[in-house]
Amino acid sequence: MSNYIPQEVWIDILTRLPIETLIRCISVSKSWYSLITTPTFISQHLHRTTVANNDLLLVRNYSDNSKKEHYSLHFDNHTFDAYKTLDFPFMTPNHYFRVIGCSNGLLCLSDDQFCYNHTMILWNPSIRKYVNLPCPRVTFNSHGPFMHSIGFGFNVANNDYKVVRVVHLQEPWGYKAPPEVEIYELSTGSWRSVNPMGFPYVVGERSSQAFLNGAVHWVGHYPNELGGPSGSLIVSFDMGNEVFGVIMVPEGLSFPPLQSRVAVLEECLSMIHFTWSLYGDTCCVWAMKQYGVPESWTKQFTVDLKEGLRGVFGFRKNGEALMKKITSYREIDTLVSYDPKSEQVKNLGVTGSPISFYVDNFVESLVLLDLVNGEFGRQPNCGEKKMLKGKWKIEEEHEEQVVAESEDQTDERGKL
Amino acid sequence: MSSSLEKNMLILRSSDGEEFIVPEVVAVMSKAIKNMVEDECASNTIPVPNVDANILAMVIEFCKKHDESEAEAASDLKTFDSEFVNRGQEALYDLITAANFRDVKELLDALCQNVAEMIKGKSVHHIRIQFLGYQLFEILTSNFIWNIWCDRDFD
Repeated sequence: MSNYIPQEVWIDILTRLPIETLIRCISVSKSWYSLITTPTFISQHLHRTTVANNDLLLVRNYSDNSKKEHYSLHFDNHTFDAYKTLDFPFMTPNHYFRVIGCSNGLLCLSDDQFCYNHTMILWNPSIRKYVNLPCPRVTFNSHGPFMHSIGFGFNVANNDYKVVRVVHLQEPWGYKAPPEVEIYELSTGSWRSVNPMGFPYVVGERSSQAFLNGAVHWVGHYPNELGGPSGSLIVSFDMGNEVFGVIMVPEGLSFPPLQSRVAVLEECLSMIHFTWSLYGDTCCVWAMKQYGVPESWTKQFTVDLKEGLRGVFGFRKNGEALMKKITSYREIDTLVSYDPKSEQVKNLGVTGSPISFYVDNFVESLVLLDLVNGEFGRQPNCGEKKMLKGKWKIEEEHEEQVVAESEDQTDERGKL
Repeated sequence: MSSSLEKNMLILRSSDGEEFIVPEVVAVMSKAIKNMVEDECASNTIPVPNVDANILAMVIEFCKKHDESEAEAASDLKTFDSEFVNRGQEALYDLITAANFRDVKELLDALCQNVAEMIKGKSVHHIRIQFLGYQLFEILTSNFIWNIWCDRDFD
């Protein structure tokens, strides 16, 4: 009967289906398999889901006892209903990953939380597919101590996902100011260096990102003569043309430096600034109403950090702020939502260690469906490379053999 | 005949020769007919091949309702749509073919949504039988062979 319905109508019908049904549909017939796994279908499906907009929030939390990360999806509605729990398949010696960003249902994870470690993963939890990123070029082994920040985003122009890494090498008086910059593209599957064009600013250590208008934003600063920070500002990196930019912030936000973070509030770039004083800690939120116009910075609200409230770290669609609140249990916080108009605090019923929380908008998508799991980790991982290096010296004439071996190793890893 | 017809009326002729008189605003909800009217390559009677009288009547009913109810509440229209597309499979396929061929966007939208709802929550076998015309025995035999294969003793 499929002959009755033309192909383009089938595409129209299938793009309306939720992820679970589509995964089932893949095994219905060969023609449906090849239809659903094409990049065009994946982006059509993504487009339709984004337009329909189910307002999902991804929540990551963990408690230090369990040593297990917990990822779940919630509806961004009044009652914050749970939608589903996601299986987390990865392990790291650091116990926990750092979530870099989330774009079109694809998460970027890095285990650089506590030490120089270069495992990075792009993970689509909806369809349980992931890609291991190859080892970056600038590592501790190759360049010595450094400070880095990672950004992740989607480049609309060529329908590709990019990871950018900004590495400031350590120098006797601080950190080297034009940083080493490298970019990973999902389509090519490898890292390449980018010239930062004498970029004079420093991006903070493992700075959290805000992705907006096709650019990644971090809090950065201009180093003074002593190498220390002199006032914060926002550093942006455009994922399309791969150029750095800088956004000045109002005087009040700039000092003291390094006490702020960036976020997206109602489609605007916003900055959350913390002040600690004898009279009580506060957290104030500013938003840049017109992107790229420093005059349009406006103060939105200030939260007094009392009754166990910790800083704001994100926003919901209705403009409420997401905050952490201390509970009576040691090292366990609970996620709360703060309404700036009524100043009411609502418990969202998610608990975890204070540094564990990550909340971001989420869309269920089929991105990565056309790839084999772990496929792009073709280049040997950092540890393996070291192992291979010795061999390389001895068997320089058998270069092909070594390459073949390394590929075997990657294959084995893929199977695992 | 054209003199007796009001100015903004068109005649649509189905594949089996039946004629329908419809207001132009309703007829041009089909992009294909709209193009014909705009290019003035159509006389008063527009042939609609591949669509029989039965289906054409349904399509016209749908278009009329959508044309009239522009001011009406969207929820009313939604209930009408869901009732309209709730038909047997044969009629559904014929309607899809007609809507796709004549390029009636609203109708195609409602129909695709309906088919999507039908697919949701169905098992693979169910989808194969209902939508891809697999015969039950094919699935049973393939299952049978698969079971034998799985039960084989491999040592």
